[in-house]
Amino acid sequence: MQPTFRPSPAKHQAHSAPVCPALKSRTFQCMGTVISLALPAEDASLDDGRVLEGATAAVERVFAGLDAMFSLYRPDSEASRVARGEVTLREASAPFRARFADATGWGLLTEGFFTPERPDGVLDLSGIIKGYAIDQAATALQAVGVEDWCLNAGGDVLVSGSPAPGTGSPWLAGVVDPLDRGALLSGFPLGGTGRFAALATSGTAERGDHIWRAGVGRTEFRLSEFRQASVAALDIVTADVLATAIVAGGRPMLNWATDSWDIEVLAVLGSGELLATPGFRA
Amino acid sequence: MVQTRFGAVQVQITVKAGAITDVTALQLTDDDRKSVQISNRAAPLLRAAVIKAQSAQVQTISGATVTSAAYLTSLQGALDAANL
Repeated sequence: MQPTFRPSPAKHQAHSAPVCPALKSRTFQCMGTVISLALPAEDASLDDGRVLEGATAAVERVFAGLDAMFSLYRPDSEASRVARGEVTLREASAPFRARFADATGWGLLTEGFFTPERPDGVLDLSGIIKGYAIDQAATALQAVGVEDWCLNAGGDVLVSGSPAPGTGSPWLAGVVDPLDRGALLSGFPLGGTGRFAALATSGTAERGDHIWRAGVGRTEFRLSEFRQASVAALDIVTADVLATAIVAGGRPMLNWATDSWDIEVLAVLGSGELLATPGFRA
Repeated sequence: MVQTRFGAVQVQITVKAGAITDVTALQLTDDDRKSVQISNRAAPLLRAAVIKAQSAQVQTISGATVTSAAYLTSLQGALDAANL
Protein backbone atom coordinates (compact mmCIF):
# COMPACT_ATOMS: atom_id res chain seq x y z
CA MET A 1 0.00 0.00 0.00
CA GLN A 2 1.56 3.23 -1.13
CA PRO A 3 1.05 6.25 1.10
CA THR A 4 -1.46 8.67 -0.29
CA PHE A 5 -1.96 12.27 0.77
CA ARG A 6 -5.48 12.53 -0.56
CA PRO A 7 -8.74 11.01 0.59
CA SER A 8 -9.92 8.25 -1.68
CA PRO A 9 -13.71 8.09 -1.76
CA ALA A 10 -13.45 5.31 -4.31
CA LYS A 11 -12.28 2.85 -1.67
CA HIS A 12 -15.26 3.39 0.56
CA GLN A 13 -17.69 3.05 -2.33
CA ALA A 14 -16.12 -0.20 -3.46
CA HIS A 15 -16.83 -1.86 -0.14
CA SER A 16 -20.34 -0.59 0.49
CA ALA A 17 -23.40 -2.35 -0.85
CA PRO A 18 -24.35 -1.31 -4.38
CA VAL A 19 -27.09 1.29 -4.51
CA CYS A 20 -29.46 1.13 -7.47
CA PRO A 21 -31.81 4.09 -7.13
CA ALA A 22 -34.58 4.56 -9.70
CA LEU A 23 -33.74 7.16 -12.33
CA LYS A 24 -35.55 8.86 -15.18
CA SER A 25 -33.60 10.05 -18.20
CA ARG A 26 -34.11 12.00 -21.41
CA THR A 27 -31.82 12.17 -24.43
CA PHE A 28 -31.27 14.40 -27.44
CA GLN A 29 -28.76 14.53 -30.27
CA CYS A 30 -26.22 17.30 -30.69
CA MET A 31 -22.56 17.74 -31.70
CA GLY A 32 -22.61 14.38 -33.50
CA THR A 33 -23.41 12.43 -30.36
CA VAL A 34 -26.18 11.73 -27.86
CA ILE A 35 -26.59 13.70 -24.66
CA SER A 36 -28.51 12.18 -21.78
CA LEU A 37 -29.76 13.76 -18.59
CA ALA A 38 -30.76 11.53 -15.68
CA LEU A 39 -32.62 12.63 -12.55
CA PRO A 40 -33.69 10.63 -9.50
CA ALA A 41 -37.12 9.25 -10.44
CA GLU A 42 -38.86 10.99 -7.54
CA ASP A 43 -37.50 14.40 -8.64
CA ALA A 44 -38.08 13.76 -12.34
CA SER A 45 -41.74 12.93 -11.90
CA LEU A 46 -42.46 16.09 -9.87
CA ASP A 47 -45.09 18.36 -11.41
CA ASP A 48 -46.33 15.56 -13.68
CA GLY A 49 -42.87 14.96 -15.18
CA ARG A 50 -42.44 18.57 -16.24
CA VAL A 51 -39.30 18.94 -14.09
CA LEU A 52 -37.38 16.44 -16.23
CA GLU A 53 -38.76 17.87 -19.49
CA GLY A 54 -37.88 21.43 -18.42
CA ALA A 55 -34.39 20.47 -17.28
CA THR A 56 -33.72 18.60 -20.54
CA ALA A 57 -34.93 21.59 -22.57
CA ALA A 58 -32.59 23.90 -20.64
CA VAL A 59 -29.62 21.62 -21.35
CA GLU A 60 -30.58 21.26 -25.01
CA ARG A 61 -30.72 25.04 -25.48
CA VAL A 62 -27.15 25.34 -24.18
CA PHE A 63 -25.84 22.62 -26.50
CA ALA A 64 -27.77 23.84 -29.55
CA GLY A 65 -26.54 27.42 -29.05
CA LEU A 66 -22.89 26.39 -28.84
CA ASP A 67 -23.21 23.94 -31.74
CA ALA A 68 -24.69 26.69 -33.94
CA MET A 69 -21.64 28.86 -33.23
CA PHE A 70 -18.80 26.31 -33.18
CA SER A 71 -19.75 23.43 -35.50
CA LEU A 72 -17.55 23.01 -38.57
CA TYR A 73 -20.32 20.79 -40.00
CA ARG A 74 -22.57 23.85 -40.32
CA PRO A 75 -21.52 26.11 -43.21
CA ASP A 76 -23.28 29.08 -41.57
CA SER A 77 -21.56 28.76 -38.16
CA GLU A 78 -19.08 31.37 -36.98
CA ALA A 79 -16.45 28.59 -36.80
CA SER A 80 -17.01 27.80 -40.50
CA ARG A 81 -16.79 31.47 -41.45
CA VAL A 82 -13.48 31.75 -39.56
CA ALA A 83 -12.23 28.51 -41.17
CA ARG A 84 -13.05 29.90 -44.64
CA GLY A 85 -11.22 33.14 -43.83
CA GLU A 86 -14.37 35.26 -44.18
CA VAL A 87 -13.99 36.42 -40.57
CA THR A 88 -10.67 36.93 -38.79
CA LEU A 89 -10.24 36.05 -35.13
CA ARG A 90 -10.03 39.77 -34.35
CA GLU A 91 -13.45 40.25 -35.93
CA ALA A 92 -14.95 37.18 -34.28
CA SER A 93 -17.56 37.51 -31.51
CA ALA A 94 -16.49 37.81 -27.88
CA PRO A 95 -17.74 34.28 -26.98
CA PHE A 96 -15.85 32.82 -29.93
CA ARG A 97 -12.63 34.58 -28.95
CA ALA A 98 -13.11 33.52 -25.31
CA ARG A 99 -13.26 29.84 -26.27
CA PHE A 100 -10.26 30.31 -28.56
CA ALA A 101 -8.39 31.79 -25.58
CA ASP A 102 -9.43 28.82 -23.40
CA ALA A 103 -8.22 26.31 -25.99
CA THR A 104 -4.95 28.18 -26.55
CA GLY A 105 -4.38 28.30 -22.79
CA TRP A 106 -4.92 24.54 -22.52
CA GLY A 107 -2.53 24.08 -25.44
CA LEU A 108 0.17 25.89 -23.45
CA LEU A 109 -0.59 24.00 -20.21
CA THR A 110 -0.36 20.64 -21.99
CA GLU A 111 2.74 21.50 -24.02
CA GLY A 112 0.75 21.29 -27.22
CA PHE A 113 -0.68 17.81 -26.66
CA PHE A 114 -4.09 19.42 -26.57
CA THR A 115 -4.39 21.63 -29.60
CA PRO A 116 -7.23 23.53 -31.23
CA GLU A 117 -5.61 23.15 -34.63
CA ARG A 118 -6.38 20.39 -37.10
CA PRO A 119 -3.55 18.80 -39.10
CA ASP A 120 -4.69 20.85 -42.11
CA GLY A 121 -4.24 24.03 -40.07
CA VAL A 122 -7.95 24.74 -39.62
CA LEU A 123 -8.94 26.10 -36.21
CA ASP A 124 -11.18 23.47 -34.59
CA LEU A 125 -12.53 24.31 -31.13
CA SER A 126 -14.77 21.23 -30.92
CA GLY A 127 -12.23 19.60 -28.57
CA ILE A 128 -13.13 22.11 -25.89
CA ILE A 129 -16.72 22.98 -26.79
CA LYS A 130 -18.38 19.78 -25.60
CA GLY A 131 -16.80 20.13 -22.15
CA TYR A 132 -17.71 23.81 -22.08
CA ALA A 133 -21.29 22.96 -23.08
CA ILE A 134 -21.56 20.45 -20.22
CA ASP A 135 -20.18 23.07 -17.84
CA GLN A 136 -22.69 25.68 -19.03
CA ALA A 137 -25.51 23.13 -18.85
CA ALA A 138 -24.69 22.72 -15.14
CA THR A 139 -25.36 26.43 -14.66
CA ALA A 140 -28.63 26.11 -16.58
CA LEU A 141 -29.72 23.17 -14.41
CA GLN A 142 -28.95 25.18 -11.29
CA ALA A 143 -31.09 27.99 -12.70
CA VAL A 144 -34.10 25.71 -13.19
CA GLY A 145 -33.70 24.51 -9.61
CA VAL A 146 -32.60 20.91 -10.14
CA GLU A 147 -30.00 19.80 -7.59
CA ASP A 148 -29.43 16.09 -8.19
CA TRP A 149 -28.60 15.14 -11.76
CA CYS A 150 -26.21 13.25 -14.03
CA LEU A 151 -25.36 14.64 -17.45
CA ASN A 152 -23.62 12.43 -20.01
CA ALA A 153 -22.51 13.85 -23.37
CA GLY A 154 -21.15 11.10 -25.57
CA GLY A 155 -19.30 9.44 -22.68
CA ASP A 156 -18.16 12.57 -20.81
CA VAL A 157 -19.93 12.82 -17.47
CA LEU A 158 -20.69 15.60 -14.98
CA VAL A 159 -22.89 15.07 -11.93
CA SER A 160 -24.40 17.05 -9.09
CA GLY A 161 -25.67 15.74 -5.77
CA SER A 162 -26.72 12.12 -5.49
CA PRO A 163 -28.87 9.55 -7.33
CA ALA A 164 -30.58 9.02 -3.96
CA PRO A 165 -31.25 12.63 -2.84
CA GLY A 166 -30.26 13.46 0.70
CA THR A 167 -28.18 10.32 1.24
CA GLY A 168 -24.82 11.70 0.11
CA SER A 169 -24.21 8.50 -1.83
CA PRO A 170 -22.34 9.12 -5.08
CA TRP A 171 -23.31 8.44 -8.66
CA LEU A 172 -21.38 5.43 -9.90
CA ALA A 173 -19.98 5.84 -13.41
CA GLY A 174 -18.83 2.81 -15.37
CA VAL A 175 -15.76 3.02 -17.60
CA VAL A 176 -16.08 1.18 -20.90
CA ASP A 177 -13.53 -1.55 -21.63
CA PRO A 178 -11.97 -0.51 -24.95
CA LEU A 179 -11.16 -4.17 -25.71
CA ASP A 180 -14.82 -5.18 -25.26
CA ARG A 181 -17.12 -2.19 -25.59
CA GLY A 182 -20.06 -4.13 -24.21
CA ALA A 183 -18.29 -4.58 -20.86
CA LEU A 184 -17.10 -2.31 -18.08
CA LEU A 185 -13.44 -2.04 -17.22
CA SER A 186 -13.97 -0.14 -13.99
CA GLY A 187 -16.24 2.15 -12.05
CA PHE A 188 -15.72 5.50 -10.38
CA PRO A 189 -17.87 7.35 -7.81
CA LEU A 190 -18.82 10.93 -8.70
CA GLY A 191 -20.57 13.58 -6.62
CA GLY A 192 -22.26 12.67 -3.36
CA THR A 193 -19.81 13.31 -0.55
CA GLY A 194 -16.83 12.49 -2.79
CA ARG A 195 -14.42 15.03 -4.20
CA PHE A 196 -14.78 14.55 -7.98
CA ALA A 197 -17.80 15.57 -10.07
CA ALA A 198 -16.50 14.96 -13.59
CA LEU A 199 -15.22 11.96 -15.54
CA ALA A 200 -14.13 12.09 -19.17
CA THR A 201 -12.75 9.34 -21.36
CA SER A 202 -10.78 9.76 -24.56
CA GLY A 203 -9.76 7.00 -26.87
CA THR A 204 -8.81 5.93 -30.31
CA ALA A 205 -11.40 3.17 -30.65
CA GLU A 206 -14.75 4.87 -31.18
CA ARG A 207 -14.06 7.50 -33.83
CA GLY A 208 -10.71 6.35 -35.11
CA ASP A 209 -7.65 8.47 -34.54
CA HIS A 210 -9.40 11.76 -33.94
CA ILE A 211 -6.84 13.14 -31.52
CA TRP A 212 -4.29 15.52 -32.99
CA ARG A 213 -0.77 15.38 -31.72
CA ALA A 214 1.52 18.36 -32.02
CA GLY A 215 4.54 17.60 -34.20
CA VAL A 216 7.43 19.75 -35.33
CA GLY A 217 6.12 22.64 -37.40
CA ARG A 218 2.53 21.43 -37.70
CA THR A 219 0.03 19.13 -36.11
CA GLU A 220 -0.04 15.59 -37.44
CA PHE A 221 -1.47 12.14 -36.84
CA ARG A 222 0.53 9.84 -34.60
CA LEU A 223 -0.37 6.46 -33.22
CA SER A 224 -0.92 6.79 -29.51
CA GLU A 225 0.58 4.36 -27.00
CA PHE A 226 -2.72 4.64 -25.09
CA ARG A 227 -5.88 3.11 -26.40
CA GLN A 228 -7.96 4.97 -23.85
CA ALA A 229 -7.57 7.38 -20.93
CA SER A 230 -10.19 8.28 -18.31
CA VAL A 231 -9.70 11.33 -16.11
CA ALA A 232 -11.73 12.20 -13.00
CA ALA A 233 -11.50 15.88 -12.04
CA LEU A 234 -13.35 18.57 -10.13
CA ASP A 235 -14.67 20.06 -13.40
CA ILE A 236 -15.52 18.59 -16.78
CA VAL A 237 -13.35 20.83 -18.97
CA THR A 238 -10.20 19.80 -17.07
CA ALA A 239 -11.22 16.12 -17.22
CA ASP A 240 -11.99 16.28 -20.94
CA VAL A 241 -8.93 18.26 -22.03
CA LEU A 242 -6.50 16.16 -19.97
CA ALA A 243 -8.00 12.86 -21.17
CA THR A 244 -7.44 14.04 -24.74
CA ALA A 245 -3.93 15.30 -23.99
CA ILE A 246 -2.91 12.03 -22.26
CA VAL A 247 -4.00 9.89 -25.23
CA ALA A 248 -2.09 12.27 -27.54
CA GLY A 249 0.99 12.68 -25.36
CA GLY A 250 1.49 9.23 -23.83
CA ARG A 251 3.32 8.62 -20.57
CA PRO A 252 5.18 11.96 -20.31
CA MET A 253 1.84 13.80 -20.54
CA LEU A 254 0.23 11.33 -18.11
CA ASN A 255 2.90 12.05 -15.49
CA TRP A 256 2.76 15.79 -16.13
CA ALA A 257 -1.03 15.71 -15.69
CA THR A 258 -1.03 13.73 -12.43
CA ASP A 259 1.81 15.89 -11.04
CA SER A 260 0.10 19.15 -11.92
CA TRP A 261 -3.66 18.69 -11.49
CA ASP A 262 -5.90 17.23 -8.79
CA ILE A 263 -7.09 14.27 -10.87
CA GLU A 264 -7.37 10.48 -10.95
CA VAL A 265 -6.46 8.65 -14.14
CA LEU A 266 -7.09 5.19 -15.57
CA ALA A 267 -5.22 4.60 -18.82
CA VAL A 268 -5.35 1.56 -21.09
CA LEU A 269 -2.21 0.81 -23.08
CA GLY A 270 -2.31 -0.53 -26.65
CA SER A 271 -1.55 -3.98 -25.20
CA GLY A 272 -4.60 -3.74 -22.93
CA GLU A 273 -2.52 -3.29 -19.78
CA LEU A 274 -3.59 -0.64 -17.29
CA LEU A 275 -1.93 2.32 -15.64
CA ALA A 276 -3.88 3.82 -12.73
CA THR A 277 -3.56 6.45 -10.01
CA PRO A 278 -4.43 5.36 -6.43
CA GLY A 279 -8.06 6.55 -6.68
CA PHE A 280 -8.87 3.90 -9.29
CA ARG A 281 -7.54 1.04 -7.15
CA ALA A 282 -10.16 -1.15 -5.51
CA MET B 1 10.32 31.96 3.65
CA VAL B 2 12.40 29.68 5.85
CA GLN B 3 15.10 27.42 4.47
CA THR B 4 14.96 23.88 5.83
CA ARG B 5 17.05 20.90 4.88
CA PHE B 6 14.10 19.73 2.77
CA GLY B 7 13.85 22.99 0.86
CA ALA B 8 12.16 26.40 1.23
CA VAL B 9 9.01 26.55 3.33
CA GLN B 10 6.69 29.54 3.72
CA VAL B 11 5.53 30.17 7.30
CA GLN B 12 2.93 32.45 8.84
CA ILE B 13 3.61 33.87 12.29
CA THR B 14 1.04 35.28 14.70
CA VAL B 15 2.33 38.11 16.89
CA LYS B 16 0.53 39.18 20.07
CA ALA B 17 1.89 41.96 22.30
CA GLY B 18 5.27 41.74 20.64
CA ALA B 19 5.65 37.98 21.10
CA ILE B 20 5.27 35.23 18.54
CA THR B 21 2.32 33.10 19.67
CA ASP B 22 1.94 30.81 16.67
CA VAL B 23 3.84 29.61 13.62
CA THR B 24 2.06 27.86 10.78
CA ALA B 25 3.67 26.31 7.72
CA LEU B 26 1.76 27.58 4.68
CA GLN B 27 3.54 25.70 1.95
CA LEU B 28 4.88 22.22 1.49
CA THR B 29 8.59 21.93 1.01
CA ASP B 30 9.71 20.98 -2.48
CA ASP B 31 10.49 17.48 -1.22
CA ASP B 32 7.02 17.11 0.34
CA ARG B 33 5.48 18.26 -2.90
CA LYS B 34 7.59 15.76 -4.81
CA SER B 35 6.46 12.87 -2.63
CA VAL B 36 2.81 13.90 -3.06
CA GLN B 37 3.34 13.95 -6.81
CA ILE B 38 5.06 10.58 -6.94
CA SER B 39 2.36 8.91 -4.82
CA ASN B 40 -0.29 10.25 -7.20
CA ARG B 41 1.40 8.92 -10.32
CA ALA B 42 -0.26 6.26 -12.41
CA ALA B 43 1.34 2.84 -11.96
CA PRO B 44 0.77 -0.51 -13.69
CA LEU B 45 -2.25 -2.28 -12.26
CA LEU B 46 -3.82 -5.66 -12.90
CA ARG B 47 -7.33 -5.59 -14.31
CA ALA B 48 -8.56 -7.41 -11.22
CA ALA B 49 -7.21 -4.63 -8.98
CA VAL B 50 -9.20 -1.65 -10.32
CA ILE B 51 -12.52 -0.57 -8.81
CA LYS B 52 -15.04 -2.99 -10.26
CA ALA B 53 -18.52 -2.09 -11.43
CA GLN B 54 -21.27 -4.21 -12.93
CA SER B 55 -23.54 -2.73 -15.60
CA ALA B 56 -26.50 -3.18 -13.28
CA GLN B 57 -24.84 -1.08 -10.56
CA VAL B 58 -23.84 2.02 -12.54
CA GLN B 59 -25.96 5.07 -13.32
CA THR B 60 -23.91 6.32 -16.27
CA ILE B 61 -21.13 5.22 -18.64
CA SER B 62 -17.90 6.98 -19.54
CA GLY B 63 -16.15 5.97 -22.73
CA ALA B 64 -14.57 7.35 -25.88
CA THR B 65 -17.06 9.62 -27.65
CA VAL B 66 -19.95 7.60 -28.97
CA THR B 67 -21.37 8.61 -32.37
CA SER B 68 -25.14 8.97 -32.64
CA ALA B 69 -25.27 5.73 -34.65
CA ALA B 70 -23.13 3.73 -32.22
CA TYR B 71 -25.12 5.06 -29.25
CA LEU B 72 -28.08 2.79 -30.05
CA THR B 73 -26.07 -0.34 -29.27
CA SER B 74 -23.93 1.21 -26.51
CA LEU B 75 -24.12 0.54 -22.78
CA GLN B 76 -25.27 4.14 -22.19
CA GLY B 77 -28.02 3.62 -24.77
CA ALA B 78 -29.21 0.57 -22.86
CA LEU B 79 -29.16 2.47 -19.55
CA ASP B 80 -31.17 5.36 -20.97
CA ALA B 81 -33.69 2.98 -22.52
CA ALA B 82 -34.19 1.35 -19.13
CA ASN B 83 -34.78 4.74 -17.49
CA LEU B 84 -37.29 6.17 -19.98
